[in-house]
Amino acid sequence: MNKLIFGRYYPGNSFVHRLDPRLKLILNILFIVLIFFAQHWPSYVILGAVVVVSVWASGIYLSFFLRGLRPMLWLILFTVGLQLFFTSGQHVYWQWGWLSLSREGLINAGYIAARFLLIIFMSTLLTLTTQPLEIADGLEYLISPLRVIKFPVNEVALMLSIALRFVPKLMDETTKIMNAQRARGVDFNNGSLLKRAKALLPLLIPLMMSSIDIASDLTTAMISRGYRDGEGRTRYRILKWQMRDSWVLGAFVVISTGMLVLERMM
Amino acid sequence: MDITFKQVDYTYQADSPMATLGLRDINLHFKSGTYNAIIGQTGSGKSTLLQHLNALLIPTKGEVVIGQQVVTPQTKNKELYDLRRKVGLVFQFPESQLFEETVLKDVAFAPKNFGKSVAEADEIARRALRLVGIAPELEDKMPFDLSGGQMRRVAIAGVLAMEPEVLVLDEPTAGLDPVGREEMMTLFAKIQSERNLTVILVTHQMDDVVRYAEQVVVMEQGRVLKTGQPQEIFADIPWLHQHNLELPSTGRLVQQLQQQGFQFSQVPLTVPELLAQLTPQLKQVVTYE
Repeated sequence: MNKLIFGRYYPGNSFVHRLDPRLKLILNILFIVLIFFAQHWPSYVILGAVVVVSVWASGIYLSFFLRGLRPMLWLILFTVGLQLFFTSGQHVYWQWGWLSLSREGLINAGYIAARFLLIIFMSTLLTLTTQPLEIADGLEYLISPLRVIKFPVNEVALMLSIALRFVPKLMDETTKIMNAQRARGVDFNNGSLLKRAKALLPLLIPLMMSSIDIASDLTTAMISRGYRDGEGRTRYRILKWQMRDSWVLGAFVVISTGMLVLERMM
Repeated sequence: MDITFKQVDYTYQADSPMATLGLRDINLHFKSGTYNAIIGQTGSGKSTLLQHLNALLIPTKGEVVIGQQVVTPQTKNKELYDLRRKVGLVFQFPESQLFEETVLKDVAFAPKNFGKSVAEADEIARRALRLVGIAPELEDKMPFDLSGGQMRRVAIAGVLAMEPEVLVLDEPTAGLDPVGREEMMTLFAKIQSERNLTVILVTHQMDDVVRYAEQVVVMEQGRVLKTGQPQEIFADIPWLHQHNLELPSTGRLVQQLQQQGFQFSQVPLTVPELLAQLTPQLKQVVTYE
């Protein structure tokens, strides 16, 4: 389970850790949008540099990010492969039936791979440096304008933070039940696909049962402490926008404007 | 089966910056057919140690020898299948592993996994259920419809149905009422002597330790602090206090009696031992008066 880095917080106190979660969320979204405007290689150099600097500023080992990449590897290879062999182009280097390797295909595949890497690195950076609860707080703030159209912002935010809060708990529970079933002779890693899918049943059913137990315990605890919906509640964790957040936002605006101008000129 | 730990280290999340040492330099020997207890505070590494006993965890350094099987950091998962059958592991709150539609099917799950036919597995499962005191009427019920105590018994039957040579118990009586606890512990002692099992029990119940264990292992912060017979371990009361370990209930009574002026040559650990030392002194008091 430890391999699943996505959604795991890496404790630290770096510059990136201390940034406002709202800023980190917004930047992540903007960054992804920006990536889709990048059509030429200089833009990728700029975006790559942004990622490298951010990763460096977070003080987290690169190996940690690379490990986070592993679960996505097949998806990336598959997509890159599709681009590589199914893009029709002028300069064909190699052809076999309807498979062809062209220059355009190579370039497209390269861009797709770069986009994947950039997005995964940036979003991994967000989850590594931001505690799940901070992310939930940030999201609550960002969706709060929806209150105007009677969207239940508080309830959704509460659901979100509870869900996030119980991810590690459920992971531990999963490990525990997996161990218990492995001790009873279940093999989760070997055998045919069907056999492995069947091996999941002794894991999923107990996991579901314990999730329901946890949920009902939590409900009882909340009701007995007099919880009511969140309207007008004060907050325990207050998000404060700092000077450094403005600087980072400013720097990002400058860089992205620069990149967009560059794209226009090409 | 004999079990030996030789200079075993275990690191959680090895080769990552978040690596934490779970076990360090463990050297232990559990003799075949003996009843062993592991005690220590929460987080002292007891559960980590247990998971090495059927190679759910593999040491990051050193080796664990279980019967004929040597487990080293290089051992592959496939070599361990046979080992898992021979070592039955009852986890904390084992009822959370139940998943089948009926009680009987759930208990028969492990023998089926280890290659028994359905008929054989059912037969073994029925025997295991009788052993833990589950009536035949309950066999076709959903495990989730049973009471907490019954679920615990069914889960334990599910491990006993593997017919293991080593039985590892991680706080098997936690959350049970006193009667249920007594029954459960008596059951384990009975199985142990009948089948000549090697039992390794992790517990906070010191009374169970002095009553059943032939060897006690004390753990603290991932290390073995002390091993020995219960008499040796519980003799040194200040040492126990220093390491936040409880005394068995006779020990607590003895402490109070000592304050009243009674003398004990060694700390009696069971009721008969206590009586043997206390009765002559009480007679003295009576005649004195």
